[in-house]
Amino acid sequence: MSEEVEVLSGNTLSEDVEKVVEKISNTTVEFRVPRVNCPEHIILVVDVCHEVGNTPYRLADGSKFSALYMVKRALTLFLQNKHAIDARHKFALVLLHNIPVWISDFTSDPQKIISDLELAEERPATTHCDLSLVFELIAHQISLPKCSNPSVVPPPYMYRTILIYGRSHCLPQFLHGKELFSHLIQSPHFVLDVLYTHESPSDNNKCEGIFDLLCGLDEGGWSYVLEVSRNATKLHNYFGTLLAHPFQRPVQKDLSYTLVPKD
Amino acid sequence: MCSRLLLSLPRLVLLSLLTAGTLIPMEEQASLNNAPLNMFTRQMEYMKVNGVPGVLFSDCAEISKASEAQGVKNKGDNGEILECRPESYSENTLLIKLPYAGTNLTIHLLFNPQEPWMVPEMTFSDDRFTSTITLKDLEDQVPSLNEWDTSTDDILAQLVHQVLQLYRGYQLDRLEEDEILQIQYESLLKALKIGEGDIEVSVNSTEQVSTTSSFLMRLPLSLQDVPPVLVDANPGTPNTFLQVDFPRREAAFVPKLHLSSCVESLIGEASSLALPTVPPGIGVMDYVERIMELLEEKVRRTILSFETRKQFIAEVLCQFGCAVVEYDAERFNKIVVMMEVKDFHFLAFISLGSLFPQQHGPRVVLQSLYHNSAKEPVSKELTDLKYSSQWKPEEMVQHTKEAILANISSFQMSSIRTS
Repeated sequence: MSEEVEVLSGNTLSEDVEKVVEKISNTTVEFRVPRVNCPEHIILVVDVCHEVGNTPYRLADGSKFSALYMVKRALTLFLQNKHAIDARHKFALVLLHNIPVWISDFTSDPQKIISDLELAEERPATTHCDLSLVFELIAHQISLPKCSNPSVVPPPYMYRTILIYGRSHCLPQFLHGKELFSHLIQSPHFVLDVLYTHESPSDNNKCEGIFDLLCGLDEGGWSYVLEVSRNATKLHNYFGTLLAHPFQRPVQKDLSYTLVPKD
Repeated sequence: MCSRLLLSLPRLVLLSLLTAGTLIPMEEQASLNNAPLNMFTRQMEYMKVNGVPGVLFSDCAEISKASEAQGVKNKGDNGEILECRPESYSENTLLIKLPYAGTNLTIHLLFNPQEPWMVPEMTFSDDRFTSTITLKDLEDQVPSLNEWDTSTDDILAQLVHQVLQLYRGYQLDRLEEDEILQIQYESLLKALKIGEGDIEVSVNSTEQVSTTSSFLMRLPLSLQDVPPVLVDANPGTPNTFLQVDFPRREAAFVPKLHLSSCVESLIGEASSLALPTVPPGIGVMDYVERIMELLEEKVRRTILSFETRKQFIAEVLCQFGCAVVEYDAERFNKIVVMMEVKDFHFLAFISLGSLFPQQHGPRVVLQSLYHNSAKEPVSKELTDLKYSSQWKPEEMVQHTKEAILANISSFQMSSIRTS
């Protein structure tokens, strides 16, 4: 992005802005790609497993909704908002049960994904979750853009996988190797984000262990790994967080949304 | 009705002036009895790719087959008008329509159906031009007729170029007969510092009251300071043309501006740019200088708008960098930020556009993360945003922030009600 941040002559910018402009060009975190909002091709991997004993979301008015129902609602807002931000973004849908199934191919029409998502039903929990199959499926469905100079030239599009994992008792693991996962992750044009929805952590479940495993998927430090228990507002907030473009968003630890009035 | 320039010469004389061209093998001859349009596919493709040489409006040049309605009309025995279509007339005629100085010059090329590879007979839509030029003019200035070779890709392009040079010379000769127009022409060349190739002149006889003389000139509007990302957004050459019609000697001239789509995307459509009215007695040169000032001002505004948008976005990033969702990093037209007030999270879409900052301020829409209708999230556009184009970006962002804060409660209430 160096061409867009040259400091304008005549010093029309305030000192603070100049600092930001300089920071963007000499970032402390080394960016692998220019900070351009190229179209995203987003693969939504939605876990449809329902484990015995799963607690529902309870809203303030007393109504109860299953975890999958809440995810569908929040995901609908995510899709509508992402489309409003830039109509070039595309979405694909994968449902994860014992094996991942590619349900909808890439489309820029959020309504298509929303309709397909509506039809997804909860399935009984399986004993294991094989992440190798997920990334094998993705690797076969996508074609990473070829870019001669990725740190300078923005790609025509990039891929983001958002894994929405919902089990509190089943550890997700690479049962058939990590080669395809590693191949995807090493590309500057492939980003993985994780949203973990789970029961309240306790000795009776494996939520903490699962969360650690999912954090381990963030090998490069570019991912967002978020977790939420049965808090509907927080779930929707996190889908808001996930709206951010991977090439332009701050790293997760720097996120701060509070709007403070000027005193 | 077209006059047939070369019919006055015996065919023998014509043939002796021309070389035989390349010898065509028998098997090729069989395939050459296609209509001329098919025969010249490569040559037409060449002109499509390389442009039609010698005309300013090369995008508007057309090559086609003569339509059947253009058959020659004859009077029948009883005096009634008959349409007499020579056999295969349309199949063997290529029309090359060239825009020139606000009008059109059409070259008709009539090919011999028995020997389609031979040099065609040529006539023009401009009768006076046809009757003025001599065989010597053609010999000297249209040498492609002597070197006619249908296997050469650029043979049509060469012919068109040479005919246009001849036509240009013819028009300039006629210009010398009109002292006032001649002076206007020369002063334009000098004032605009353009070459003769950048201006087309069409001089029409003053005896015919309805005809108009015209100048069509390429204005030297420079886009070199415009950020490349804005210029590259539209394909094609950035061209700015001004056509000036002189309807009658005493009446004021009529200006028409033509802009290529690349230029229109930067400064607006030609039809929306109000050209100043022509004051009586003003010379074309002075008027054109005013137009240039107008256009240059528009370009400056486009550049200023871009720079201000960039500064505004940088200011938003400075204040909200840890909450940025997405922004237009090439044209700086939009930025989306996520915000939180008292645990209520929402999105703020801030759009700028090319009329910012001079004509209006940022457009701010608050959008919900929690509530939606069937098609879209609940949203609210802020209508009470204070704005002045004189403010620095820092002030603009500050006022935007204040307007958002002032509207949050009502937005929160209405989104619960609406969903």
